[in-house]
Amino acid sequence: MNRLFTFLSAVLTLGTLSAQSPVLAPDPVIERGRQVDWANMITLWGEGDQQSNSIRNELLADLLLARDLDRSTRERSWGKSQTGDRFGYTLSAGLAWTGKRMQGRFEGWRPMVSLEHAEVLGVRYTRDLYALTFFGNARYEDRTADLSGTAHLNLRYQSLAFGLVDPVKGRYLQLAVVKGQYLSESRLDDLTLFTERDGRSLALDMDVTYWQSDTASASLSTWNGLGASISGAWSWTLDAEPGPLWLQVGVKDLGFIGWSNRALTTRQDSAINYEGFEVEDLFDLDAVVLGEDQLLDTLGLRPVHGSLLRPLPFRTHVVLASDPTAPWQAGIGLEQRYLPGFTPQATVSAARRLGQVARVSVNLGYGGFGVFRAGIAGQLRLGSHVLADLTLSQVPGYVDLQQRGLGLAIRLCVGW
Amino acid sequence: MKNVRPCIRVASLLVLLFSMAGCRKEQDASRWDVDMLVPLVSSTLTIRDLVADSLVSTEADGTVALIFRDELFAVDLDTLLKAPDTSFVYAYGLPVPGPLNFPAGFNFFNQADVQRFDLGDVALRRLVLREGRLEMRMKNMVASAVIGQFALPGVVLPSGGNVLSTTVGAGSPSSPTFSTDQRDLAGSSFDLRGPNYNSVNTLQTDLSAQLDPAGTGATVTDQDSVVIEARYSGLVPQYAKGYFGSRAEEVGPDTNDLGLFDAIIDGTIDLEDATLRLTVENGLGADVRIAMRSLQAYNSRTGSTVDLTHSILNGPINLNRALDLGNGFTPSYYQTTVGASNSNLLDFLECLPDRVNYALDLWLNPLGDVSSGNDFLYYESRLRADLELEVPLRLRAQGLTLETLSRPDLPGSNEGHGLRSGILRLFATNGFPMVGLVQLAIVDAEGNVLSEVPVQGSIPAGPLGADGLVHSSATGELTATLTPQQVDLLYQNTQLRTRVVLSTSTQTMYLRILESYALQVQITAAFNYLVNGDE
Repeated sequence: MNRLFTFLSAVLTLGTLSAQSPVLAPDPVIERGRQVDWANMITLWGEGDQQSNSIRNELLADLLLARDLDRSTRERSWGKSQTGDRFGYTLSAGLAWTGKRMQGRFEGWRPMVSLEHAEVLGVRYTRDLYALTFFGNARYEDRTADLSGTAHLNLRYQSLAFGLVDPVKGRYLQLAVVKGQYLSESRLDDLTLFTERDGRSLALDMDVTYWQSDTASASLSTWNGLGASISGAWSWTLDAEPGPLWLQVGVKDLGFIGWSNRALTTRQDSAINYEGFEVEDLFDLDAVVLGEDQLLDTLGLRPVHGSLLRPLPFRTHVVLASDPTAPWQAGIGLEQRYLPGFTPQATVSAARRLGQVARVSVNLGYGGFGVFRAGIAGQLRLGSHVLADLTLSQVPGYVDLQQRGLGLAIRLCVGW
Repeated sequence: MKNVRPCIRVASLLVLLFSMAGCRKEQDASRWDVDMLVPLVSSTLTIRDLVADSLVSTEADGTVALIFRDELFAVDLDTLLKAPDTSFVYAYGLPVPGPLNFPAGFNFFNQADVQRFDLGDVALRRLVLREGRLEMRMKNMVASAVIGQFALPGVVLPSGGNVLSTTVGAGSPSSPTFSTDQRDLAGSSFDLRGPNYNSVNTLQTDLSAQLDPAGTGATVTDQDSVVIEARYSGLVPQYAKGYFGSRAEEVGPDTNDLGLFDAIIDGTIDLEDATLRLTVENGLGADVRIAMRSLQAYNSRTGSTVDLTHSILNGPINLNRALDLGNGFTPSYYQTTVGASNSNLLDFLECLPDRVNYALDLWLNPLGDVSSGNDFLYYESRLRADLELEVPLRLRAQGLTLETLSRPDLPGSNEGHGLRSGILRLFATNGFPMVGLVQLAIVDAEGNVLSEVPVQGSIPAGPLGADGLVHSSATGELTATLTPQQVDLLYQNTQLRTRVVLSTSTQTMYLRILESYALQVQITAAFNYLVNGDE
């Protein structure tokens, strides 16, 4: 039972830090080194972002620190929407090398090699699922808890990418070999639980599917799957008044992972009315074992081993930004990710360049896993060889644990 | 200054946030409590679930009868015929001082003998062995290898012959040599009438010893000797014939368990009828007389006893001898029926005995050797008495209490368990004409009550029709509340004691218990559970 609750709570609430980048065009002043001067660059980055439309940071903090969850904390994170509650996070870190500008047919493009670790979780869940997880089914006595429509994807993978990048125009194309580390994915197309009065029966109507990578190991060094992806972005400069506009369209991690034949698929489409374990001798309760195996047997949930091909949680975006040469800049972007619970996220950024070395921005967003978000970002050139970016998304989350969402992104680029 | 404060605040929070991962965790995972409402177990109980199938039969009218069969006593082969391990020693020594030179192959020792087995007052004329060994051991002080031969003219070995031989190497008085040879006697037939066929327990033997014909002979003095020892051991008769003697044996006092009322720890029962059939089987080819001295019901829980009164306890039972068919036998039987009308059998049973005490005297061949030495027994022959007790379940019961102890397999451990408190509900649909109360208690290993768990409600009896039978069921609900302290106790190597107290719904008539009667039970639990509390 503990595993069940832990799984459900993890699906609902696991998360750490992360980012909502400003939607701006590449600044030719601040980024001059990266765009023009430097022949080689090493870029190191890390980002994390968690969002939810209902789960508050205080609950996540308690879970992270393994503190007991009091009832009021759990109630504050109980979503209002029966079908549309969402939670998710992304985590990534990477290292990239970018070479000098090429000449000839590919003039302006630079070769690039990068290595990236990524972890994502997306959950779409119902209010009833949260209640069952954090309060139990007693409050559903003589009622039906509807969990239909719940889905989640939790994926960890690493990519080794090769490609070309044009930092001036904000264009790139790269192909990656993807190593699959861990997969946990579920789809509860139909799942209702009726608890009869006094708990005399539990009626479960379900059409559920669950995929999982090989459970033998999920450590960083484990190869549980292999795949490929393509990422890229293209931009255009549009004539407009009072200045030109910059339009970028891109996609990241469009691909798949083939998971090994030790992967598990559990599929169940049935209706079960459970009235307790049938025992031969009521007085011999020694023989009654209330274990996980017995529960799985009762529900008929037995996984099947076999290889899987699952898509990567790719991301697409479109950005329209003002002239990056101007001291005041602005942009608007729209992003969507192939993750359960992720809704189209719109972001508006307003930025001001500070002298020749810095640019600061304010970013407002709506959508994704959460609702309204307000963040800040800064870009700073340190000397002539270092460029640093810092983004804080959902700033209120840093000052008030009852807020929802939190994010942080750091990028450091060293060039010569 | 006003602009600086928010920056410091944000920076402090960032530091706090990043340091969260480094904070010392109080436990492995967060815990929170949930209120669960689940069905636990369900069961349908019939009389066959309450009593072992082997003890239940159904009469023509559907009434259940308890049938208990057991052996009261048995006299086995060892009691009647013991064939002890027996050794015979044959020694040869030169009758003159010597020295004498014996050539190779010289046969220096020949002896015909008869040996008598000590079987007490049993006089056997023929014995076929099921098991047994003959070990022939030679000790040689002669300076030549010696070949010893041991012939048994009255014996037919399984191989068909009756001669055993063994060779022992050269020895000397100061350093004798030994040899041992062994034969399996299983299947051997012994004629124990001796060489003239007019004796009993007697076996003829012919022994000889010869210097090794391939040797060089030996010089022998009166200091040199050859000793042959024949040892019979592990003799188990397959068949014996003769006269087994006239003797008396006391059997008991002894006790047999009666597994009929084991689960009942209290209450009274009033039976309408019962029958006890006593069957004595004599598989011996000898006359037997038995005198029952006592047959007593004993309730070890209450200490109460009831002696059976019946004519079999007043006089002896004479058992005819079995019939020998040559390759088997037909036993003789004696059977008597003890019922409610000719004994106090109902009182005997209504003390709810868990044991039966008995004592008896047994005479073998009480009239002497009337068969002229033709008593017989086979390995399979037994003298035994069997009880068959039949109790039709037409009864009145008051406070009949069944008790079981169980140790439910709860999640978690004493150190950590998520289960904190709860309410157990039992829903019963009862088709038995009996009212039921349930008592729950948590007891230690010695059965001492640590905590009573109060149970509200009762199981109502199925309503009686005009014919005294139940035609529809009654439903009832019982509730038991387990406090957090009681839940903790359940994890401390304790047991849950469940007592069900049953009383027939009326005490004015005997009620029949039909095989079709059933009690449907479902137990549900509403409990508070601490997630991750089992870690």
